[in-house]
Amino acid sequence: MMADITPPTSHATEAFDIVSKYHSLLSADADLTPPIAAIESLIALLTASPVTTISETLDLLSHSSATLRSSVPNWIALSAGTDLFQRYLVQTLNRPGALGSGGDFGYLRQHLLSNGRLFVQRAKKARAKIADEGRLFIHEGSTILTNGGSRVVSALLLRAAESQPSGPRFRVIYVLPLSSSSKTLGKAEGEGQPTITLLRSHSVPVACIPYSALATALPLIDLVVVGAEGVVENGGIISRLGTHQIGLLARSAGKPMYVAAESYKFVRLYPLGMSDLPVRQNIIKFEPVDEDKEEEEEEEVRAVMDGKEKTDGAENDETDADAMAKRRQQGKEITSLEDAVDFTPPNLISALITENGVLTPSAVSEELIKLWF
Amino acid sequence: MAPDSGSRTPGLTSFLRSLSSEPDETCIEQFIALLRRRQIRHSRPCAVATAYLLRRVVAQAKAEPGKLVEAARLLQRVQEVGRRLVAAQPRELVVGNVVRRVLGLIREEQDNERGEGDISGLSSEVGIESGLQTPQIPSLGKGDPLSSLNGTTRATADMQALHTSQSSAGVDTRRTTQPASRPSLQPSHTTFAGAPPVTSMFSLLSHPTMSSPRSSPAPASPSGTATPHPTGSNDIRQEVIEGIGEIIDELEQSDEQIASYALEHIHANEVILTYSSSTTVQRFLLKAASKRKFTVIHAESYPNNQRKVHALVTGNTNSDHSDALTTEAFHKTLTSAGITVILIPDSAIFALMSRVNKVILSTHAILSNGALVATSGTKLVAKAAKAHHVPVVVLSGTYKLSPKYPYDPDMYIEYGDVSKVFPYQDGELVESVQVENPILEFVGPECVDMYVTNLGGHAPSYLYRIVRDQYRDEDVDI
Amino acid sequence: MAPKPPKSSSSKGKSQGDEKEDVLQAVVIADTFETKFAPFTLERPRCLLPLANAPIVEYTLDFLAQSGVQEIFFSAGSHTDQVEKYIDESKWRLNTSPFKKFTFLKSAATSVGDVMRDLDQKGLVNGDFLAVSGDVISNFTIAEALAKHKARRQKDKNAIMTMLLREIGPRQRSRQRSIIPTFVMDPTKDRCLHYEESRPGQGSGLAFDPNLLSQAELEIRQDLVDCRIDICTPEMLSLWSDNFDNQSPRKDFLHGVLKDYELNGKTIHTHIVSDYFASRVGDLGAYATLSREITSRWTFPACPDVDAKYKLSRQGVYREDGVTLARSCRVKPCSIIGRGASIGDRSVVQDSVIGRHCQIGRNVHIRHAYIWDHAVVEDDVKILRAIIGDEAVIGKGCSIGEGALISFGVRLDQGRHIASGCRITKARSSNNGSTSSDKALVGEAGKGYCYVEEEDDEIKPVGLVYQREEFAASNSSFSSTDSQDSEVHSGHGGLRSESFATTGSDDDGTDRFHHEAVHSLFERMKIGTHQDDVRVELMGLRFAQNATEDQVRRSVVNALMKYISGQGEAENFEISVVVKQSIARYGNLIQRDQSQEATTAGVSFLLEAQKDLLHRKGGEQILLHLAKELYDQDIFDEEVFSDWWTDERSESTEELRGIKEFSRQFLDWLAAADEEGESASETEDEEVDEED
Repeated sequence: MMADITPPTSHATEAFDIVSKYHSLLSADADLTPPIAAIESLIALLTASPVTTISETLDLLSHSSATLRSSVPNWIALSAGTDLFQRYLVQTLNRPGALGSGGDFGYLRQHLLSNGRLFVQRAKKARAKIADEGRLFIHEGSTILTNGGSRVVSALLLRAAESQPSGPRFRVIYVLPLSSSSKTLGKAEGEGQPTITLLRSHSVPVACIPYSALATALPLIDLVVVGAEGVVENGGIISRLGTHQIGLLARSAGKPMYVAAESYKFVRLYPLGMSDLPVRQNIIKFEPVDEDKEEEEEEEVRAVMDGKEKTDGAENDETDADAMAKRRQQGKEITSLEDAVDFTPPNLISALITENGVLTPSAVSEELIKLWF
Repeated sequence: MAPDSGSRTPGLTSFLRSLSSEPDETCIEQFIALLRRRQIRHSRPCAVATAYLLRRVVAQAKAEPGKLVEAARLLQRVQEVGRRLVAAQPRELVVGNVVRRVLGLIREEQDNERGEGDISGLSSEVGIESGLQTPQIPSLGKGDPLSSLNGTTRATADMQALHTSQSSAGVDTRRTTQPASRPSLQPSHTTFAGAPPVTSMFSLLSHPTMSSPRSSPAPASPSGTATPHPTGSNDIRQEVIEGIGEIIDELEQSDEQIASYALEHIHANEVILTYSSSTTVQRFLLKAASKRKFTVIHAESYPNNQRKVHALVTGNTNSDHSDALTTEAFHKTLTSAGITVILIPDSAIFALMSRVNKVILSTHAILSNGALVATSGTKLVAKAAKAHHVPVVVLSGTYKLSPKYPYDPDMYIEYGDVSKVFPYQDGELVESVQVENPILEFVGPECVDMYVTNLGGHAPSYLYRIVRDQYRDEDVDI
Repeated sequence: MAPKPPKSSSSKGKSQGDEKEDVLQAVVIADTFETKFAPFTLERPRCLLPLANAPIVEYTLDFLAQSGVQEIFFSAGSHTDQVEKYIDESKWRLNTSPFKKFTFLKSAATSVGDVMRDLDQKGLVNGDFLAVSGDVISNFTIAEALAKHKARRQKDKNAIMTMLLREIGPRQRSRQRSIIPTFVMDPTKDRCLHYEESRPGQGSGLAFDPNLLSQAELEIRQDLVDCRIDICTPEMLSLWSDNFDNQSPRKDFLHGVLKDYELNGKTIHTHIVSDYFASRVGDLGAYATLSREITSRWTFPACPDVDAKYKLSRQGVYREDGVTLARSCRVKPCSIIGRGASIGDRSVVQDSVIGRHCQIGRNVHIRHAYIWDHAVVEDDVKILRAIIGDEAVIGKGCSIGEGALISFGVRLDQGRHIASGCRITKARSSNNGSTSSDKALVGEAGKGYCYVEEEDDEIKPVGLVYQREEFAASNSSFSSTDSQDSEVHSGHGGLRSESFATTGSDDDGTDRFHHEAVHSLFERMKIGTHQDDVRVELMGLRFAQNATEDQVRRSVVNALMKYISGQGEAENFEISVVVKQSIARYGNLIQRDQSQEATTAGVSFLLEAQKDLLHRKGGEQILLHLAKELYDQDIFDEEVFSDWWTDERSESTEELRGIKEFSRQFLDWLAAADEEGESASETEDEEVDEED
C-alpha cells in the first residue's frame, strides 16, 4: 500500500534507520502488512541496539515507533503493530516468570529476537484462519461484493474458490478504486488485479465495476466482504477510501457487510467520524478557480518531497491523552487518492472476521481494553 | 426396556426412563434416533435429554484399570458423543450448547488437575454459576487483580479463569446498569473487572510456552500423562457429574429466574403482545400478573402452533406441552390470573401493533450475534413492532444461547409437515403447487431491542459476553 | 403431530402394564407376491428398491421404530438372502437398534396367507401385533389407534383386527389405481361390515348381506387408501389357518371373514386417518407420487433431510454432501441429488431423484425421472418420467420415453430411442430364458432386452405414467357398467356383460362367485323366497363379481339340482312332484333371456344339469323329470332337447351317456308327441311314474 513512497535508501545514517528498514521489509515481502512490518523493524532495531535495561528499551521503542509513524502519511496500520509490540513487552515484563523457566528480561528479549520470522509466520497463519472462517459465509449461488486490495479478503475468496467444484458456486463483484479513465490507472488495477485473475483461473466469475456502479450492482449481491487497514476501538474500521460508501449502500439495501481483519490490526483509536482520523488527506479541495492538471501534479510531487524532509522526532508520549492530540498533527498529508482512507462506523458492520472467530464490533473494544488496561 | 409399553410412542419420558437401564451407547443411539424422528424436539426437552445423557456418559466413562479417569480421556469421549448428537440434528442448537457446557466443566477439572489452585477453582465455579445465579462471588474475588495474581505459576487455564471471571463481572454489571446498545459504554463497565490484561491479540507475539487458549485448540492437549494426577483420590467424574447436575437444575430453574425479572419489564395497564405458545413467556406474564393488571394480545401462530396457543388461552392444557416436562405449573391460565387476554389471528398482528406497549417473544435459539432462530412468524411480529416503534423483548434461558455465528441463516430453518398448511386429503394442489411450511425462522439481531435471560436483561450486542462466560472458546466447534 | 403426551401414555403404560402387551411386535411382509415392479423385482426385492435414495424398507422400519415397536418378524419372500444381507448390515441389527428382536420368517410362502399361517404355527406372536407390508410409508403415530383397538378388545374379544385407512381427496381418487377398494362400514362402531375390490373400468356393484341395511348408519366408501397397516390379534392368525385357501389379506381374508360374520362372529374395525400421512409403494404410479410427496415433505418427518445427510436448499433441492454441479447446470425444485453425484454443464434436472454417485453428462434433460445409484447418463440425453436402474448406462444422445423402465446394469448404445412404457432388463426372467441382448433395441454396444410381462391375473400394472386415454377408456366402461346395474332388474344385459366380464375374468374370482351364488341361491330356495327376488340378488352378485353368463347358469343349475335332490331326500316326495314344484317356482331363473341364443343356452343348461346330476342320488330320475317339466312348463322347446340329445358333449363320457340314456324315453315320447296327441303323452307319464 505504502509502496508508492520510495524508501529512502540512505543507510549511511548514524544509528539503525528504522524507517528504511520498515520500507525495505514492506517492499521485500508483498504479503507483509504494515503492522507486521513495523514489528519486524522494531525487532530488528532491538537486535541492532545494544540496550539492556528495560527502561532503555521501552524508551527506544516508543521513540523509534514515533519516528516510524511520522515517516508515513498514514500511520494507523503500522501503529497497531508498534503499540501491540510495546504493550506486549510491558505486559510480559509486568508479570514475573510469565515465560516459565527463565523469566527475566534477557530471556524475553532473546525470545523476541530469535523468533522474528515466527511472528510473520503466525501473521500469515492468522490470515489462513480467517480465510477458513470467512469461507463459511459464502454459500451456493451467492454473489460477493468487495473492494480494495486486502490480502485477507483475497485469501478468503480464493479459499472458497479452491473448494470447487464440489464447493459453493459463487460470483464476485470487485469494486475497483478508480475507473479506468483515472490517471493512476495501472496502480488501481494492480491492487485488485492479482486476486481477480486468480479467481477467474478458478472459474469464479468476477465483475469489475467502478464505485459509480455500486448502487446498480447492489441488488445482485448477497453480502459485502472488505478488508481493513485498522480496526478501531468502537469496532469501526479504517479502510480504503470508498468503503464507508459501500457500507452505507449495503445497509440501505439491507445486505450484510463483513470485515476480514487480523486481530493485530486493532488500533487504539476512538474516532467518531472522518474528522477524528489522525491522517491528513485533502480529498475534498475547495479551489477558487479550476487549475489545470499538471499544476496539480507538481504540487502533489512537492507535497511528497517536503513530506520526506520534515520528520519531527516527536517526543515520545507517556500519557495517551495528549498522544492522541499530538498524533493528529503528526504524519504527512495523503495526497494520492488511492492511499486515501475513510472511516466506516461500527453500526454499518455486521461482523468482523478475525482469526479469533467472528466478532461483533463491540467485541473488538473488549480485546483492546484487555490490551491497554 | 420393559416399561416402554406398546401403547406408547417413544419420547422424552420413555428415553429418560430407559437411561437408567440401558448402556450408554444404546442411549446415545436411541437419542439420536429420537432427534432424527423429531420425537424429542424443542429446546428444553432436547437440552434436558442431552444433559441427562451426558451425565450418564460421563458416569460410565472407562478408565484404564487402576488409574482414575483422566480429564483428557473424558474430554475426548464427550466430544465424540457430542459430535454425533449435533450431527444427528444440527438445528437443535441447544444440544450443542449443553455439550459445550459439559466440555467446559471437564476442562475446568482438567485445569484443577494441573494443580491450579484457588483461582481456576473459583473460575470453574464461575463457569457453572455464571449460568445459575448472579455471579457476585467471582466479581468480588477479582475485585483487585493482585489477589488473583499472587505468585502462582501461570498457564493458560489461569488466564482463562481470569478472563471468565472478568467477563462475568461484566455481566454482573450488565444486570445492574440498563444495557445500552452503543459500544461506547463498554469501557465504563468492563474496567470494573480490573482483571490483568490477557488478550488473544498477543497470540501473535506470545512465547510458545504461554500460548493462549485460542491459538492451541486444547490446553496441554490430551494425553494427560504429563499432567500430575490429582493428589486427592477424588475422581474427576464426581465434579463433572455434579456440574452437569447443576446444569440440569439451571434448565429447570431458568423459567422462574427469567420470570423474576417480569416486574421490571411489565408495568400496570400495559398492552403486551406475544406470539406462539411458550411456557417461558407464560410464566413471565403470570409472574407479572401477580402484582399488576395488564392486557395480553396473543397471536395464534397458525399453522404449527395454534392448537397449543388456544389450549394455553382457554386453559385446557391436555395437549402436551412441548416446551415443558411438568405440565402442572401451566394449568393456571392467564385469564385466571386476572389478565385480559385477546386472542388474534396472525393476520391481525400489524393492525393491532399500534396499541401495543411491548412485544414479548420466546425463541428457539439465540445465536452469538444476537440473532434469533424462532417460530416462523416471529419476524413478522418483530418487524411490525419496529414499524410502530414498539420495543421487542425476547425471553430465553442462557442454555438457548449458542456460540455459533449464523454463517448461513437458511441452515437453521426447518421445513415441517406440509399437511398442516392444508390437509392432504383435499390435495388438489399436490402436483400443481409446491407447499412449504417452515417451522423456524431466522430473525436478525436488529429486530430485537432486549433479551431477558436468567442472568437479566442484555442488549443483543452484548450476548457475545455471555457466550464467552458460558463456553470455552476451544469448544465453539465441538 | 407431536407424539402422544408423555403423561397420558405413561398412565396407559401402567393401566395395561400387567397384560403382556409390554412389547409391541410387528410382522413385516416385505414381499407382496406381485409383479408390479417388474423387471426390477427380477433382480432385487421390492423392499430394497430405492425411494428418494433410501430403500423402501427403511421407511417402513423407521415407521415401526417410531411407533415403539420392539420386535420384528420379517418375511422377505423372494430374494430373502438379499434382504437378510441388507438388514444384517443395517443399523437395525446393531444392539443399539430400537428393535430388541429381529426375526426372519423363513418359509416357502407364496402368499400373505401362507406367511400368516406359518406365523400361527410357529406361535411367535403373543398379544396384539402390527401387520404391515414392507413398503409402507407413514408418519402416523400408532398409539391412538392402538389404544382404541385395545379398548375395543377389552369390551369384545371378537374385534380381531383394526385396519388403518387413509382418506384421500377426489383428485387422488381419480388417480389411476390398480385396485379400488370398497369399504362398507358402520361409522358408529368404526366397524367394517363388507369389503370388495374392483379394478378401474369394471363393474362396481356391491353384493352384501341385505340385512346389513338394517344398520342405523352405513358408510360405503371408495375414497380410502388401504395402507396395509393392521393391528392384529393372535385370534386373527388362527382364523387365517382356518380358511387355509385364503391368499391375499384383503380380497380373500377380509372379505371372507366379513362375509361369514354370522358364522364366526369376528369383527374387523377401521381407523381412518386424515391428518397423518400413510401410504404404500403399491405400484409404479404410487412410486412416482410418493417420491414427489417425500420431496415436498408430506411425509414429514420421513424426509431426506431428517438425518441431516441432505441439505434442503431454499430452492427446495435436497443435496447430499460431495455433489458436483457444473456451474451452468440447473437443478429445479423438488429434486434430490445423492452423494457423489455429478451433473454436467447446461443440464436440467427437475422433479427428479438422482441417486448416489450418478454421473449426469452435459446438456441432459431429466424430468420426473428416478435415476438410481451409480447410473451413468451421457451427454445430450433426454429422460422423461422414467426409472433408470442401478449402474445402467444411457448412451450419448439417447431419449427415454415416458414410463420406460431401464433395469439394473442395462447399457444403451448411443442415440437410442426407447419408446414410452418400454421395459428393458438384463436379467433372465422366468418367461423367456434368453439373456441375449436385443441389439435392435439397445444398439450394438448395448446390453439388455425388452421385458414382456407374463400374462398373470393383473389387468395391467399401473405404469409410472398416468395414462389419460386409458383412464378415459376405463371411465367409459364405468358408465356402461352403471347402465348395467340399472338394467339388471329387467333381466337384460347379461350377454352384454359378457363382453367386458371376460376382460377381467380371473379364475379364483369366478369360482368364488360360483360358490357364493350356489350357496345363496340354495339358501333362498330353501326358505322359498320368490324367484324374482332371488334373481335380483343373483344379478347383484353377478355384476359385483362380473361373472359370465355360463357361470351364472352353472350356479343356477347346481343350486337347483342341489335343492331338488335335497328336497327329494328330506321329505321323500315324489321326484316328479319336487321337480314340478321347483321348476314352477324357479323356472324364471333358468329361462332368463328370450334372445336368439335361447336354444344354445338351453342346451348348455341341460348339459350342466347332466353333469351336475352325475353325482347326485337318483340323478337320472331328476334329469328325466327336469327335461319333462322344462318342456311342459314350456321353458325350453323341443329343439333344445333334440339339440341336446344330438350334442356330442352330452355323451362325451360313459357316465354322461348312462345318465342320458335314461331320458331317452322322454325324447322318444317327445318325438312321438308330435304325431300323437295328449293321450299318448299321458300314458308316457304313467309309464314313467310306474318306473320309480
